[in-house]
Amino acid sequence: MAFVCFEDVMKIYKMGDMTIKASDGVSFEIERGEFAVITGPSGAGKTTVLNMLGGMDACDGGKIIVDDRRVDQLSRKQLVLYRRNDVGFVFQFYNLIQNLTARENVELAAQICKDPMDPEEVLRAVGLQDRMDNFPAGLSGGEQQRVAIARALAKRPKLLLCDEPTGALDYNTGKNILQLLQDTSRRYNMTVIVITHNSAITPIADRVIRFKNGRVQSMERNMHPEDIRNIEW
Amino acid sequence: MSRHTHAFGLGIWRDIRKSLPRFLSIFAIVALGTGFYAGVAATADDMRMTVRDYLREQQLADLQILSPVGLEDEEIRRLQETDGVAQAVGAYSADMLLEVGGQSAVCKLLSYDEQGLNQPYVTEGRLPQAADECVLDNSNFAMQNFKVGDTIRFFSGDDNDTGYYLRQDTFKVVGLVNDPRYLNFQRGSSNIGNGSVSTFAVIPQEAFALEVYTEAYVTLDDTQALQAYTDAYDQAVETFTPAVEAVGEDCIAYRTQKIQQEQSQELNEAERAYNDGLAAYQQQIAEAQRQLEDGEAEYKAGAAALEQAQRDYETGIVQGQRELDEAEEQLLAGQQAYDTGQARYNDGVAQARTLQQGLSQMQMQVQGLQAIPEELRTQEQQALLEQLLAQQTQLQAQYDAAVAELEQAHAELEASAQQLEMAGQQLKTGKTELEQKKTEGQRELAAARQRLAESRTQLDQAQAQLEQTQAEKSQELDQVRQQIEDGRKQLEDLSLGDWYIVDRSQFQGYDSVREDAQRLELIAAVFPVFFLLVALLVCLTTMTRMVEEQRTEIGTYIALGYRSGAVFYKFIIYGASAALLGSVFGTLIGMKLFPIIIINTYKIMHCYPGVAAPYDALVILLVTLVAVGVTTVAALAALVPTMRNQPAQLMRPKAPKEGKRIFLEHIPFLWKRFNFMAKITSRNLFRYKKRMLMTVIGISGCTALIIAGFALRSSINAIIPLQYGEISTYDMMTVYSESDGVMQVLQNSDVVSETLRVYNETVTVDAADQSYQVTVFVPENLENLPQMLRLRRHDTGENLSLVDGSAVINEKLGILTGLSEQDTVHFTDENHQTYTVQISGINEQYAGNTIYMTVGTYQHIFGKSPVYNTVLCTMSDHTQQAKDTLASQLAGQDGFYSVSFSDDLRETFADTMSSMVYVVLIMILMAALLALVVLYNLTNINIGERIREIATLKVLGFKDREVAQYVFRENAVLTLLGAAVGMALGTVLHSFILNTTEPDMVMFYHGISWIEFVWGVGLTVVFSALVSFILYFRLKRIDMVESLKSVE
Repeated sequence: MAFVCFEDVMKIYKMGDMTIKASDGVSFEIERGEFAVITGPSGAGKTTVLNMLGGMDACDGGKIIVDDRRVDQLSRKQLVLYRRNDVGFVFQFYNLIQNLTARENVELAAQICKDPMDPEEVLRAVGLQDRMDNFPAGLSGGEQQRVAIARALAKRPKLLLCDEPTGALDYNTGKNILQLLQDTSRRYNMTVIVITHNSAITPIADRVIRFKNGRVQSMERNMHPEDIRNIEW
Repeated sequence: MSRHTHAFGLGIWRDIRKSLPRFLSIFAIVALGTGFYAGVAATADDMRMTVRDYLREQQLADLQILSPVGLEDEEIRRLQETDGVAQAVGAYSADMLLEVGGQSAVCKLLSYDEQGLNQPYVTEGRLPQAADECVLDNSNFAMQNFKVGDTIRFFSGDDNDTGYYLRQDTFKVVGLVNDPRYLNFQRGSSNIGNGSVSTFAVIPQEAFALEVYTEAYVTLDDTQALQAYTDAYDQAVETFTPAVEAVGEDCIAYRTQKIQQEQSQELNEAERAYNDGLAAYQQQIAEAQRQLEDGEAEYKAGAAALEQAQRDYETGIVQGQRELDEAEEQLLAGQQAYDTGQARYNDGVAQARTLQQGLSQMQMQVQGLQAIPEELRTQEQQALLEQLLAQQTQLQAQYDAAVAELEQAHAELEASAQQLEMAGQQLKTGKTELEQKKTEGQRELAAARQRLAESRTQLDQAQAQLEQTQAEKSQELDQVRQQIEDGRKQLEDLSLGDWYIVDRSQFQGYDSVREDAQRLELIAAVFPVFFLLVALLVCLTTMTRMVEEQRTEIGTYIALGYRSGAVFYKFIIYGASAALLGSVFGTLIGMKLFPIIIINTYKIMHCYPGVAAPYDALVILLVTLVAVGVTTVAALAALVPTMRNQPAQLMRPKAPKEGKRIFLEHIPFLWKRFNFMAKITSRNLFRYKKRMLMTVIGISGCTALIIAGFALRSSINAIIPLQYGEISTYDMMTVYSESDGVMQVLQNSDVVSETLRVYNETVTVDAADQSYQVTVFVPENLENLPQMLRLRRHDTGENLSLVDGSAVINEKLGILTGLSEQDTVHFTDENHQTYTVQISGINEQYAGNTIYMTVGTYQHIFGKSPVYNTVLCTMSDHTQQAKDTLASQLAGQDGFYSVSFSDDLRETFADTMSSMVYVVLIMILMAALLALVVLYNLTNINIGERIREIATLKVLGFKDREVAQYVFRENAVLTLLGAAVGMALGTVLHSFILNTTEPDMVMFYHGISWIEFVWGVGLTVVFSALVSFILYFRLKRIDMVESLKSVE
């Protein structure tokens, strides 16, 4: 069985009399260690999937399986532990704690899990060996996103979920971040799932899942992902 | 404009609906702040108004007039005719005794006149209609002992008969009343009984028998439109007082003249009586003199008669003796003659016997011869016989003659002997008679002499008596003469004294209502203002937060072409409508709720009906203006910097607040010791400085209010064990007058251990702007004093001793008058005499004001010895039974007035103080509410501001508990910090409130114990925890999806 497995997952939002099917029978699979990209236009249901996968939201039907565990059946408390130990999250707006230095932001995550990586080591790994004691406000967007990635990695997650990680970054910085994510996937054999509306970056992924209207439009495996330096958008 | 205003208005309405919790929180905090402020601030005025309305309704006089000679109808008429006097009435009052449970209590009897002033307010039953009906004081004392329908009997407590005061002494109780002259439950002092009035009774004016009114009551034209307890009122009364004084002088002159006339008539009569008396005296003396002279003459005659009698007696005795001697001589001669006769007789008998013998012999011879027959006889014989016979015849004749002779002699002798015997007998009798006569005569003479001596003595006595009577009577007459002369002289310079004119401040409780209101005003100036400030600060924070949250929206509106005014308008309307609604709601409730609660609480100690708690539109308006103003200013303050930005800038997320190193990090020594969470917490604390400050202020305010509240409560309560446990250690106090019985009962009682007699007198001490009733306390000896009363310095606890020549006063009196050791205290007694004494020490004392002095000091100052009227005792048995037994034993004694046990006093005192405690509890409750609302609001804002951060933490896998810790650790620290500041603030607040609220008769304990700090800090922590607990659920509900949203 695949490492990540969605089987006919439903998610319905009720807004007054209207029901919106954010996920309308979503099914896909991602193997362990893959660098997957989920893409599609705004409102296609990408983020909903990410929320459910990240244990931040419950589904209304179907199965969500991560590393042979039924995430959809986890209790609230189990979900907390799932997020804590199994999932790393990288946000579009970094979501760093402004009042903590880069090192402290990483420590914040590290100190709650069982076997964290050394914060300084992770920060060095993301190339921030010189900026560790800076506050987020004193870092550039790319640097902040690196801190965010380091914070996610420090927990040694099974799954690294990234929501539009380059959305707030300029082109080059975005590229660097994607590079970092790809490298991370390779180096730690970590399953990395990136959500983006930018389909231009799909060539670098091991697997590309396209969403449209709350459904998976296509899923393809890329046996020869391109190097990020070679693509442009 | 109108179209988009409509859309805009909808926007505001939607904003309100969408952010209802925030709208409600502004509403609530404004309502709480304004309600508390307006309510408590209005309470002082409402209290005054309640009393003022009551006094107006009951027509309380503006002035009371007492005259040393009472007042006559003429004087009342003169008062009525005085310009500026609205009404003047005469009234009676008298202190009488009534018997309650074996003790006698003083009852002040007041006259009731339907047309008069000072109308009683009926709380039960009705007013008296018939002359034998009365209504009683609606106080505990009266209500515990009497009820409507009872019959009550009054009796005189002084030298006058009950009839001097009252037409009848028994009255039927027809109702219970409050009298506007008594606004609290103090009933004042009295010259009779135990010296203090226990209760009052109102009886119809006609039930009084007094000749003149005891007092007059006056209302003024100028005060009709003025409110009591205002400066204008006080001013009007003060201004008018000289006019009344002038009337008083006229009236006194009138009375003087009248009295002079009356009394000079009396003196003339007395002189006439004197003259009559003098004449009668002189006549009486002359009569007595004459009687005495007659007596003397009689005596002299008696003496002469006695002398004559003596003489007669002596003569009689001599003659009698002579006669007796003669008789005796005769008797002796008779005896001799008899003896001679006897001897002769005896001779004759012997002769006769010889004759008889010769005869016998012849007989025999004859017979012998005769025996010879005649034939035989010789002649001779015959012859012889014849011869013999012849001889015998002759002899016989001789013999017979001798015998006859003898017989005659014998008879004669017999008669003579008989005569002799008779004469002897007579002599004997004569002798006896003479003796008797002698004795009798002597006795009679002695008696006569005695009688004479007695009549001498009588005469002498009569003489002496006359002289004495003369002396006495003339002295008496001289005295009367002198009296009449003195009386004339006194009458010439007769001085009746002056009218004693007093304003309302001498009515019980009138000033205390003023003081209570002033104290309330001061509390209102501290508590609610502080409260309102905190509330408005929180409001400001909330508005600021709202503006920040709506940043993007503001940008949108501006970008859409709305004028910036419109944007201001929107926020101002939001804030202002919350503040307006909150303020109106708060003030409408607060202005009813707080005055009613607080005034009713105060009424535990006061007697006036109802509570006036009107709405004051001006206050509502002002408070609302302030509330709306502050929220508006808050909105503007938050908006103005925001609006300076370009719309595009506004629509971009505001750069999050920069992280900063805090000063603690520069102290590695400390910082390294902090764990990770501690570091984060300290950073966060300093991140939002404004909110931190606000929270600390808010929390410190709550802590301070709670500490002050609790400390105030124990400041009040603590004095009870201090006063009745450490200072006054006697167990019982008996008030009596000139009674040995009371002392005997106490000294013989098994349950009384020690006794100390004390003289207590109430005097007045004048300070700068007020006068105080103070007790002069003179213990009989200093040996037993320490067991009854501990006089000690408050600061060092060092014992103070009383010494001759100076006095010890209590601390509170020192504070009130500003006097300290070595100063001189001046005081005035009931007769308006002023005395001074030097202060040698100031003692710790919590209840009452007292000047302590030795007997020596008292004698020196007052020039007389104290007449003990109080006994303090310690008891070995504190059971109720022992107390009851002792009290009933005492009650039977003459001169006994009252007994009070310290245990009971303690309870009474605690009851009196309880109303203050209730007010304090209201404060504590409000502080608690404030604490909750402030903390809730600020924490809520804190969470709102950091919702992304919290969502992120959740996404990172923080457990609910860990998230809560992350957020609430700050609250905990801020709470502790605020509590620490609050401890200091509370101490200051407590001290301020104590200084402004302390009654004159009481000194509160000014210290704060750790317990109050524990309460203050503890409760604050509990509230903080409670708020955290409530908000924990909000944290739990925060959606992690928030973390994905862009920064607003």
